[in-house]
Parts: sequence; C-alpha cells; structure tokens
Amino acid sequence: MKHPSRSLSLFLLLVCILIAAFVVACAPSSTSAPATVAPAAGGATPTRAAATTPSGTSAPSSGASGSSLGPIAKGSAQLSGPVVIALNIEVTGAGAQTGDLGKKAIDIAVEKVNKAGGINGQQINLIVEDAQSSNQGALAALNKAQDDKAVLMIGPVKSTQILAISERIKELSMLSLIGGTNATLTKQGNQWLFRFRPDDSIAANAMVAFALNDLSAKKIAILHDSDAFGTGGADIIEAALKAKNLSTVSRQKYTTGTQDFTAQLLAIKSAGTDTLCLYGTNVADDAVIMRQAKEQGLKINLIGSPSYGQAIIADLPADVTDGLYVVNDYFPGRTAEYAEYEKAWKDKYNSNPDTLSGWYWDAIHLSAQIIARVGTDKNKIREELLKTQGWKGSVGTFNFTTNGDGRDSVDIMQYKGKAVQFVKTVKGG
Amino acid sequence: MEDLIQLLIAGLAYGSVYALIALGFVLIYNAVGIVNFAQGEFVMVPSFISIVFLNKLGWPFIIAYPATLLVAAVFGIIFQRVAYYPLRRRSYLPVVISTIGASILLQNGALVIFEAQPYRPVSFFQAGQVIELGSARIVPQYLLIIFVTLLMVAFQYWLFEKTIIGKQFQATAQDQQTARLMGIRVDRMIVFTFIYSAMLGGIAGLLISPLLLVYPLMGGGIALKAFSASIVGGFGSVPGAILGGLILGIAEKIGARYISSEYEQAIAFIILIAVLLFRSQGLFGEKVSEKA
Repeated sequence: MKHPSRSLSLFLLLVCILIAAFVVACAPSSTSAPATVAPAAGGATPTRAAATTPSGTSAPSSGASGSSLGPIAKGSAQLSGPVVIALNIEVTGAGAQTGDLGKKAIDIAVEKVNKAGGINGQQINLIVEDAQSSNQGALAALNKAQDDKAVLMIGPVKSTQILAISERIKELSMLSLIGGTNATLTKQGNQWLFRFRPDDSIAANAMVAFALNDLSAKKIAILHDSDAFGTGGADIIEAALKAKNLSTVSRQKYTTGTQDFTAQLLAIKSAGTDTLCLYGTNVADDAVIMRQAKEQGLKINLIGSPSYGQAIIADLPADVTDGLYVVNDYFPGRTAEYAEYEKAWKDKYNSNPDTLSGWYWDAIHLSAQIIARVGTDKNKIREELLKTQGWKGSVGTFNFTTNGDGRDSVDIMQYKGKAVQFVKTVKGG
Repeated sequence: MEDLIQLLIAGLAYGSVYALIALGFVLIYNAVGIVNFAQGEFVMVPSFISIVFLNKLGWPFIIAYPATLLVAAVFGIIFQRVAYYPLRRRSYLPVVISTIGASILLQNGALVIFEAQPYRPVSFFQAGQVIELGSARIVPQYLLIIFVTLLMVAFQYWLFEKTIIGKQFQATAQDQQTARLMGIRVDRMIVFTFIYSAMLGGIAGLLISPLLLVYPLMGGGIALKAFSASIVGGFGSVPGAILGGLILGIAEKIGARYISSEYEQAIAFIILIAVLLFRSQGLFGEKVSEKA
C-alpha cells in the first residue's frame, strides 16, 4: 500500500518536527521594540497617525539653520577618509517591518548630512548589516560591522538582540547606539551602549501614574503580549500598582499573532474594569484588539503602549479609536527638529514619517556632530556622548546619564475623532 | 451565558477558517500523498490579490471577490506546475521540502512587492459593527464566515458525491494506477486538486482578512492550526478536517476564557498531542494498516 500505518505515523511525526522548527525560525523573537508601522503604505486612506502636527507649528522649513540639527556636522576634527557607520537592522525576517522603516529614517539622515558636505568634508559611508530578525543575525551583523571598521554602530532596536550581543560589543569595544527599551540593558556595566529611546519602566510607570492621577482609575486590568516586551511592561505596571497597595482586577495575555481576543476581552469586561492598560508588541495585534474592544462594547479608559500610536491603528475608523490614550516615546510635531525630520521623510518617500524611527535620524545627527568635533576615536566619541545634555533631536531632548540612557520622559497622547492630541509629558524616575 | 454564546460563535468562525484550510491540506494529501507546507501562502497570496483589487483598484466586491478566486485558481495551477510537478515521481520528502521552499519564496516575494506594512482590506462590514443579541455582541463577519463555510461544505459534498468530476477525483485519491486504467486523466485531476485547494485558501483569506490584517507572514499561524485540525480530525479525512477545525476553534476560545488566556495558542497543540498519543489515526481517521 502507499501509506502503511507506521510510515504514516513516522511521516506525521517528522512533519510535526519540521513545523515546530519552522515556527521557531519564523516566530518574531521576543521584541522590546514595538513593531512600528508607517503610515499606510498604499493602504486605503490617508492616515492621521503622525500627521498630527498642529497646524501652524513654529517649525522652520527643512534645512533651516538654528535648530540643533543644523548647520550640520562642522568642527575642527581632522578626518582622513569617509566615516564608516554601520547599521545593525532587520532587513529580512519577522522584523523586516520595523527594519524597513528604520532604514528609511537612517537613509534620509545620512543623505542630509552628506548633501550638506558631510562631516568636515568627509562623507558618511553607511553600511547596512542585516540582523535577519534573529539573535545570531544581530551577532553576525556586529562582527561584520567590526570587519568593515565601523566607527560606531546604530542598532539593534530589539532588546533580545542587544542582550545577545552585549558581551561581544564589550569585547570589540563597538560603540553602539541602540533603540532597545528593556530597562536592564544599560544597567549591566556595558559602557559601549547608548540608548536613544526612553526605557520600558518609564513608559509603564507613566501609564500607572496617568491612570491613577489623571483618570482616577479604581479597577485596572492589563492585556499584554506574552513576549518579553509585553510581559516586562505588565510586570512593571503590577509592581507600580503594588507600591500603592493596589492590584489589577484582571491580567490577560496573548501570543504575538493571535487572531482573536474575544476570550480575553470578555474576561476583562466581566471583571468590572474601568481602565485597561494595553501592552502590545505587534501593531497588527493592536489593531485587532482595538476593533474587538469596540465590538465588545468595552466603554472604559484604554491606555496603549507605544505601538498603539502607529499608522494602522490611526487608520481604523475614528469611532473605534476615539478616546484611546497612548504612551509614546514622544508626541510628534511639537518641535522644529521633528518638522525637519518630517519634511525630509515626506520629500523622499511621499508619506507620513514613522514616528518610532525618529531616533535613528537623531542618532546619525548627534554622532555626526560629535565626530565633527572630536574625530573618529571611539573613546572620545563616548565621552562626548556622556557629556551630551539638553541636545534637541526630533524625538525630544537628550540628557545622557552615566548609564548611557539618553531619554528620560514619555508623552501621553489621545485619539480624538480624526485627530491625535497631546495630553501631557510624564518624566520617569 | 452571553459570554458563552459569543465565545461559541467566535470559536465556530475561526474554526471554520481552520476547516477550510484543513480541507486544502487534506485534498492535496489525498490526491498526491504530500503535505503542502505552502498552504498558509494559499491564504496569504489571494489576500494580497484582494488588496490590489479592493483597495488599490477600488473594484466593487461583486467583481473583486470572484476575480480574486480566479487568480487564486491560476496560482494553484502555477504552484502545482512549479513546486509539485517536476518532483512528482520522487518520494514525498523532496516534494515536502519543495513546498517549504515555495512557502519561503512566496512570503519573501510578498515582502518585496508589498513591503512589510500590514494592509487593512475594504470589507463588507464596518470595523466595530455588531449585532446585539441580548447582551451578547455578535460580529457580523463571524456569521458570514460560518455561513460561507457551511455553503462550501455543502458544495463540496455535492461536487464529490454527485458529479462525475467528483467521482473521478475520489478514484484518483484512492488509487492512481487503477484510476488511470479506468481512463481517468489523473494528471488533470491533480491539477484540479491544486486549483480547488488554492480556491479554498482564497475563500479563507477573503473571509479572515477583514478581521486580521494582510501581511506576508499572515498565513503561517493559521495554516499551522489548520494542519493540527486535519490531524485531530484524522489526516486524510474530509469530515475529520471540518470537525477538527471546528473543535480546535471552539476549544481555543473556551480554554482561553475559562482556563488561561496565556495558553490560548497552545490549546490547539495540546489537543493535537493528546490525539496523537491516544488515537493516532485522529478522531475520524481509519486505521490504514487495517485496510492494507
């Protein structure tokens, strides 16, 4: 016979193993950076995501001097050739979504610096190393950056990847400007890590403070992705509540890529929740949650993690998102520096900029300015980064701590009808 | 109680989608004895096609949906020609690897063409629209999914049991040699299987994409559940695939609500392992050795 029973069983077993391997390979590594989504690439309607710049913003047009981003990189340092900067980013794999946007932000920043004469006359030579959405890939990219004699490396943006390559970064003394937001990354004695985004503890604590102080929340529930990022955020929320002798009424979890949240939302509803903290990683999940919360008639306060600020959410019908609060790295469009970033992005890509990729733009500009002053000696660049205080980038003001943390506050914003409004800035402790 | 109604309907809806894809698995397996690992891409590719027709070209549903299924059918033919046909005389393993390769190729192809950002397709029902039944809130798209799946099951029954082409198909599935001796054009029946399987995937994609979003990796997770469903039901069994899908869909929702939401995605696989341990032929499968 064609398929005797034993070989069929063996075959099925083999298939199961293959699938398991396949899933492990394809599953998004537990991320720290929320997947970001650009304003609907070819989506149905124009989005209102990042296009929230209040009309008549005081931003000067692109290229204007006077902001801290320009005039670009001029200083006294003698440079002997092009400045090699490596980018450790996810070009392929599950993180390609985020990576694509980050690379776009980097490209316009490098283009801007180079067009304006480069760093003291020398061009930036950007080398893109694919982290392949995996820890091994990020490590290979780091090693390649070293082989290519990069002055510094920008990325990775995923905390798991940074954790995985942190030791190697130390070994190589590779100055790394990172975007991963896991709070512990910069507290492990690696002097070569400099973080350009507020860490998760700031965002999660801000969520609790805002819920208690501004929304007078009594019954708080959490719905979070069960990956490292979501679980980490939810743990911080619970800890912050515990410090005030409070606890959550319901804590619901889901796996990245879950297609239906009926069960979780029903549990939250029946717990009598008045404020729901949403800690998501993957914006596609966030969008489904928002739609289903509306379908379930969940009329409570919703506070979302940064990925809820992204385009595909804003692309949902206004009545689905109306009232949603989002804790974000920053509220786009309040500064002249952001306007420059926005204009450069729009000129090049003809779409709204990805807000979560703004830090890449800042990383290029800040490092270009520092290299212009002190040259390509990484120890000197490192010292200059540590000394950086009050530097204004597109995502806000950078004040580097001795741990290498550049940002210390988050902004809370709210969806209202077709617009997104700034609510307040919350400083981290 | 209202919770239970909502959970059952959501479970049935997702179970229906698993069932449609599981049918695709089973039909191809029955016809050519391989597991098609690109079954998830049979959902993803038509979903993107529907994005082109609905969102980019702005076609009305009445044209865009049939057109999508037509393209899905063509896709099925091409897939059969490229990924299966050249390897048809080899054992199952090279073909399985070939379908895995095709799956990776299609995912990355979609990534290159459509980029990584998710798309939200134009859909019949507004996001957030519900039918209120007492205090239970029913999503109309769920009802549509269940209805269309029922229709497809009925159609398939008619097709396979009442028509000549269906009988030829069954003969091919049972024994290719004998079918060939009976004058059935086996190769043509195999092409037909791939077309039908791709169209099932296309229907699943059209039904589910308004609920999810459309992105290159969307097929993987659903196909995995569907594959589990087909094993739970008894691999190779058509009613098994349908019931397996429904059982998994409902078990997921009930388990997530009343046991733990953390394990929602694991429930399907726990059931899968339990079935393989205690009834390895699946709930509706026949013990093949007895037949031999």
